Amino acid sequence: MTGSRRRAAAASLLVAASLAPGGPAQAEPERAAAIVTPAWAQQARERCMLCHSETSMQSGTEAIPVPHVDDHELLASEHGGLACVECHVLATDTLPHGPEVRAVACGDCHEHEAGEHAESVHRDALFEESPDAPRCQSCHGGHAIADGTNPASKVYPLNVAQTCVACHEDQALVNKHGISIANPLEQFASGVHGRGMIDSGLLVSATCNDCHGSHLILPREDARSQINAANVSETCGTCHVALQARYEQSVHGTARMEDDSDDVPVCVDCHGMHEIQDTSGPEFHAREHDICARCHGDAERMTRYGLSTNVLNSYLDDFHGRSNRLYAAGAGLPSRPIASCPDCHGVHDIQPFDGTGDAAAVRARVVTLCRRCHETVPDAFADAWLSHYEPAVGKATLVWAVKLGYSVLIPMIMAALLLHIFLNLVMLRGHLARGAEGLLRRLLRLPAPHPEAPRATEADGSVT
Amino acid sequence: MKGTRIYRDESGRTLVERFTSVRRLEHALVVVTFAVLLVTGFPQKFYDSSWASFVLSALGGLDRARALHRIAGVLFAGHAAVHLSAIVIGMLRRKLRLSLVPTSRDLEDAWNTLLFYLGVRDRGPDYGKFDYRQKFEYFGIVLGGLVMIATGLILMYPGLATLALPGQLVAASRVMHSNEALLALSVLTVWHLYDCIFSPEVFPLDRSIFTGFIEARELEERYRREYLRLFPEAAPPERGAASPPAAKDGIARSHGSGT
Repeated sequence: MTGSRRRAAAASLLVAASLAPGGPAQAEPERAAAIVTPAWAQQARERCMLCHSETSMQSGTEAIPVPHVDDHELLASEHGGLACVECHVLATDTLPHGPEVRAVACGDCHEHEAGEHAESVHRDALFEESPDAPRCQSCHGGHAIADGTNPASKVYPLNVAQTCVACHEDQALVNKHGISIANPLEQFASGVHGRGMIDSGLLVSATCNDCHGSHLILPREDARSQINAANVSETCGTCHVALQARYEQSVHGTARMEDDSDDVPVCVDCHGMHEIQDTSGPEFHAREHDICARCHGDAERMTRYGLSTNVLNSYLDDFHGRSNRLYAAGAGLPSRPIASCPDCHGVHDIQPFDGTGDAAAVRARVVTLCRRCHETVPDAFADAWLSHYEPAVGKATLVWAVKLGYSVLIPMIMAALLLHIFLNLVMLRGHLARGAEGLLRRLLRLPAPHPEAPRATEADGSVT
Repeated sequence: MKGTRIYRDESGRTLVERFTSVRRLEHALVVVTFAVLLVTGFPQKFYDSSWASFVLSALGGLDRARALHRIAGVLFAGHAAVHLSAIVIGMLRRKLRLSLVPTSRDLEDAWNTLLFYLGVRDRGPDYGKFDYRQKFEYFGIVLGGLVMIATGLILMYPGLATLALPGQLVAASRVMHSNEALLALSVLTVWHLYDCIFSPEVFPLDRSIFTGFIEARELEERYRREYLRLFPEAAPPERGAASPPAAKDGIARSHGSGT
């Protein structure tokens, strides 16, 4: 056994030397087959293939099944130049082999990856020697192993999601191991990244391993995890470089860096995770305020920062807010977008409200924001927006007065009218009974029994 | 000078014209524009309720509802302009009897009606062609309509409005437009519908706005001063006479005065 380990180690050195000039990038399937294997490795492999090129062997009168290995597939793979025993390090000459022959020592060569894998969220299952444990070959494939740039590879970007969901959408495994998201592919496929990757074959779109990592996949509670809240902006920033820079300058980004509190949103708090939506369409725009409202409408969270939750109500109470609320509730979609929070406050580069200078200076800043949509409005237009203030004396006094006036006027008028009707009915209560009777008579075409009979009979005819 | 038409139908009833065809058409126009404004406007006021988005999507979306609202609003405003200028012209040419203008007599009538309702007086006052309630409603819709038109125009053209007016007026207009609409709807549903449909005096429907005529007998009962103006011969002693004497068969004209 030790002899075979030594031989394997020697072989990997030789193989590494033979691959060095070309490098793995040139190891295309056709060429891989042509790589000249060291004679002894070839001999060693041929020795295994004496049996493993068959599917069964005759032992006396008994046919013993043999695990078949496709020599061509193996030769065409990334590992085409290796001898079998370089991976199947526990294989001995004793026949038949025991179960130990199944163990493969990827880590002997791929030490770094194996180390990361052993620390990953997949490690628990691995150490428990659970048959569910994802091993190297679960993701990379076995004898046909291919480089990640090879479209046939299980870890080629277009194939990664399918590779992961082989376990992660297997409901038996999901339930058994308490995996929190049961339908990640479904979610991913409905989001922008999934649509890019799956629908358009856009290789630069993100797939599972771009956010979760490859070998060192960690739960998000782990501080080293790429999807830990503290690392999210950097993870997204791997591709969205400019947005990460803008976010880190914003009121949210700076607050997050100063105080690592979950109160402060990171990318996924607004955009979601697997189901990231396209932000350019009117559907998203009409619902955008709900995203901000999740935090800015939360009184407990806002008091920690001295912020008012009235921002949401005052927005919804105004023309913009109620329009978007109605669009979001299903009342069609706007022919042109109506201002939502980010249209005035910014998106990734949100800055705190600048209340410096006198009122006129503040209003001048406001009206420049108005003019983004209402291009030609005069300066006075800024006051049409109450800046999230509740109307009060001194703050939009006119609006306050109109509100108060109607809140007095409407109940007063209604009370007076209802009282008038009530008194009228009391006065007419005699009439009421007669009226009902009269109506009944008219409907049944009965003559009136009263001395007033002639009148009732006349009323019988329809008025033309 | 145009007077009040009086007509006697086959069954011998005397019918007095209450609303000319122009007024009936005006009423129909107000009913239609008011209904459209209501259906397209209230879901915007009560944006939070589930029926709001249901109504709006049934109308083809918020944008379509707003377009309809503006068309109906412009129609309503145009109607108001024609209506009010016709009154001004009529007044200038002294051709119009302003039967809907409240006078001190209406205050007196209201007070006496209240006393009658409370049992202090034996009978209510005699009303003119329109009683104080109807005048109140008419002035409500004219004044309320003017408020709605003015605030509606400001909301339709906020940029233009703020060229001359303070910006806060746009916000105030929104509050005013919304509240005035609620007031108008409340008065309409509570009082106008009571007066014309649910009041035991008229139930199931006061049809005069659709037929244009009121029976002389009903006129005498409900609007006695107007009755006596049209039929001065029917002096108080003969009150409740079987048939009013003035009308000839077919269409006659009373001696309508031009006050």
